[in-house]
Amino acid sequence: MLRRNFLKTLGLGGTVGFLTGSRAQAQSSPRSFTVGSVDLSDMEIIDVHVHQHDRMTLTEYQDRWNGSFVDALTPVYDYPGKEDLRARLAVTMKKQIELMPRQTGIQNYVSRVYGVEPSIEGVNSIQTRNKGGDYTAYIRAIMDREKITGILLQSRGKEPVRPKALVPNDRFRWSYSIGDLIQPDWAKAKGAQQIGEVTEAIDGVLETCKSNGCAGLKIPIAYYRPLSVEKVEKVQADRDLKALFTNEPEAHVPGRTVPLYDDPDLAKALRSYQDFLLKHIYVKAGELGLVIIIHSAVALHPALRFDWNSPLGLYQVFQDDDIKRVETKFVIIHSGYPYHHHVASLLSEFPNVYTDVSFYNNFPGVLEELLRTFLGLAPSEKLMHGSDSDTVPEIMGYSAETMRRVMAKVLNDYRSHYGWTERDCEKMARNVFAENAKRVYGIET
Amino acid sequence: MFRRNFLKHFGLGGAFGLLAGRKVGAEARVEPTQQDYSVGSLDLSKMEIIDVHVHQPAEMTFSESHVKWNGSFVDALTPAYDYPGKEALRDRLSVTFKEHLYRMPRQVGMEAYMARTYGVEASPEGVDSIQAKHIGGDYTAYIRSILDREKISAILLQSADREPVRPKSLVPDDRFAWSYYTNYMIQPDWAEEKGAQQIGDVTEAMDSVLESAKSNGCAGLKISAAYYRPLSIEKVTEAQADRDLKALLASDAPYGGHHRIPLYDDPALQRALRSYQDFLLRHMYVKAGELGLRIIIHSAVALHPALQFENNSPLGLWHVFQDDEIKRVETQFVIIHSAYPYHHHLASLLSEFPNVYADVSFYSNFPGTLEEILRAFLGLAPSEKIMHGADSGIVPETMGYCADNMRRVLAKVLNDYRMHYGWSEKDCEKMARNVLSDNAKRVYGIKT
Repeated sequence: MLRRNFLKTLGLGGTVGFLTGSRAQAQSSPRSFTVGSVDLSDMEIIDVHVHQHDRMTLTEYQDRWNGSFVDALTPVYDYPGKEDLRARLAVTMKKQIELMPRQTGIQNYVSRVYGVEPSIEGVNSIQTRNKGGDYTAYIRAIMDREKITGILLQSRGKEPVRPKALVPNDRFRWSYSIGDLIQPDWAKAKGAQQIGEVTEAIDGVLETCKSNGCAGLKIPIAYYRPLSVEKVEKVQADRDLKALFTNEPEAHVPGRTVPLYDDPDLAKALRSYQDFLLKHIYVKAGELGLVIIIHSAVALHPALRFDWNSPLGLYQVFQDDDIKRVETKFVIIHSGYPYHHHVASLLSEFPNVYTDVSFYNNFPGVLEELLRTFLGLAPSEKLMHGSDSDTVPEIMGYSAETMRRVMAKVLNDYRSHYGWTERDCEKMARNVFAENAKRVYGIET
Repeated sequence: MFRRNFLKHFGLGGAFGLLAGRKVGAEARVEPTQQDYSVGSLDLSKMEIIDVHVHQPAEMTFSESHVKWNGSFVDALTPAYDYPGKEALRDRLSVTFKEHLYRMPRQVGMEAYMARTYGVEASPEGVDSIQAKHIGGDYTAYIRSILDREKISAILLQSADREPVRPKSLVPDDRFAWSYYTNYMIQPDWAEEKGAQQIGDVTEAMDSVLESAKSNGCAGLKISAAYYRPLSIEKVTEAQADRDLKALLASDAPYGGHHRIPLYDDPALQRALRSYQDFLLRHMYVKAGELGLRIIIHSAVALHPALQFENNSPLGLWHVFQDDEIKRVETQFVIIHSAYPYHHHLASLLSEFPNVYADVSFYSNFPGTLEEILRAFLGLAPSEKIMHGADSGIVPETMGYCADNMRRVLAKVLNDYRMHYGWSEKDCEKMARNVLSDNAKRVYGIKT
């Protein structure tokens, strides 16, 4: 990543002066971002969880996701009236998404920044203006405005190479999702006959990742199974592989290569096979110095289950002797909500475990609680900023601004009520905003 | 419900005026000012409120209501078997519990509220003195005056009757919609009482009750299963439920507990009961969706020692909301009492399911907890998903106290949205109106 001098460009103080449209907005005063004489609006920010962007408005983005929400609330079987239900749900879910607190937040943010109406149309108007032009320059302008010096971009590619992206090339490191690697279809495609051949193929991918500058491996399993991992012998994993190869699944998890078996024995074999491979990946990642990035969050999408997203079973993963031996680093992304107090416990117990507040920092009320929970119990060195920006790059800007203002609110309590000095507060802010991201993911700015 | 002009009555400002210059109790208390109900230029004390969880009031003082409940608390902490000294333990527990209840934050809050409102001592005796004045008189007028004072335009009253008809109540008739308590219908002795021989006979009888409730204007069905079993339900076939029914009818186990449930020693019968109830609960959830009746589920752990975590946890409800038959009929669910201490999990559910709502009843008696719950829910979910409630039981002043708490605590939370999160006053006003009354109107069809 190249050093840049974009910090000279206009910052928050300049942007909040604009506005306003007909709906009177609460203006951000410089005080909203200060802790005594420490000005958080001047500080660099690194966003450690960003998905690849598309040239799409907020409405188009929400419409794209709507089908998946509707699927999750529609009975699987066919019956007369199913399409009517889907049509009703499409409207209901669209409304529900548009009523979320993050919607109010982003609309007000875009209104403050660009002087448009605080409405979804206002947000769309800015994106529409930039859609057909130099989108990379548009993203750079957002990042410059909010002093976002770097991001960790999750590649959507299957190949373990640095992704092509609309994000300026000098502004990101990347992570790689191992979702496919632990599915039997992937092993089959690799021509593997035995479990040793699968792990060999996985090692090949992970080593290529590492040599291509990958910073971490994304573990998206909580979408379809629990995060806990049982210890499985190699010989058992080999039997599992063979059983899975000789039986076709009844279906796949929608949008994923994850097989679904009706037969409980095959479902058990899949779990055991994945457990073996996950542990192998966690150990290999430690050896290679790749960070393990685990999704853990329940909100918004009706398919996200408590039992699968609970981080409680990760305690045993962190205590696994083979994993301890190679000192693998773990980042539990999205705070583990609603298990954020449990994640705070884990952060305080394990020096190799970190978290980020991505997605939830779209919701300032929740972000405040998360910051209080994590900063209250664990070192500030364990917590990172992230937006979970997906498609719409303004969300990176909105999340960065939300982080600064909510962090200032929390740190003012540390300064005014808990006996912390300004210097203590400044260190906490810099850690969370950027320093931890540099250290944990090796992001250079 | 009729349109009324009670909003002309004196409001909070008037109530506070009563105390001006008065020293209440021996110690000075910081009294709320108008500012405590304001978010910028927005005045929450002027807004209409609907209370969506109220039990039938009775002509009884606060102290008498505590005494009435005390036995149930004592029962929950007394060994089931007999032994010498059991009665002595009960006597000690009776005193201990009384003290315990009087030390609850809600007691401090309630006494202070009554002192502010009526100018009495901030003490149990002060509270009792106001109620004693009205007992034997026109209690309905007294309740109306509380509702008017706090601009509570309507309530959702839980009927205490078995008959699925609009209940008679001390609450003014033009001020309430009603919900219906269903617990007895999922116990085997109800099937026996109905002469049911097969599971189909039970569901037919149940459908008839629910249809009557609907045609009599019922707004929702109360599910109190969490008092004695988990909220999660397994899918049970009709054939299995039929076998369960027959096994249960063949047993003559005694019934007991506050919710009057059969007490089986035999694990096989315990399993059969669970399975039988699972089948009927699912049937009820589907039928409620077809009829447009809300399912109102108790989920809370606090105060009463009989309330268990595993029974009250809302985590298993995820699978209920994802049940294909329930999804098909679009049943609406309200998880009442915020599911504390699982309120963050409930916030997740509110954000995931458009047909799931919550109220803050009971915990609105505890302003510190109310603040935490409002922050959790409003932080993650649309404000369209949260409703005000008191869980007032017997003592109607609780409705007034909770309404006052809600306005004040909501103002505190919304001031953070306005001052620190970038929300406009208009955004905050919408949130306040949703939580205070608009959601109740939409979800329960309450008209004011």
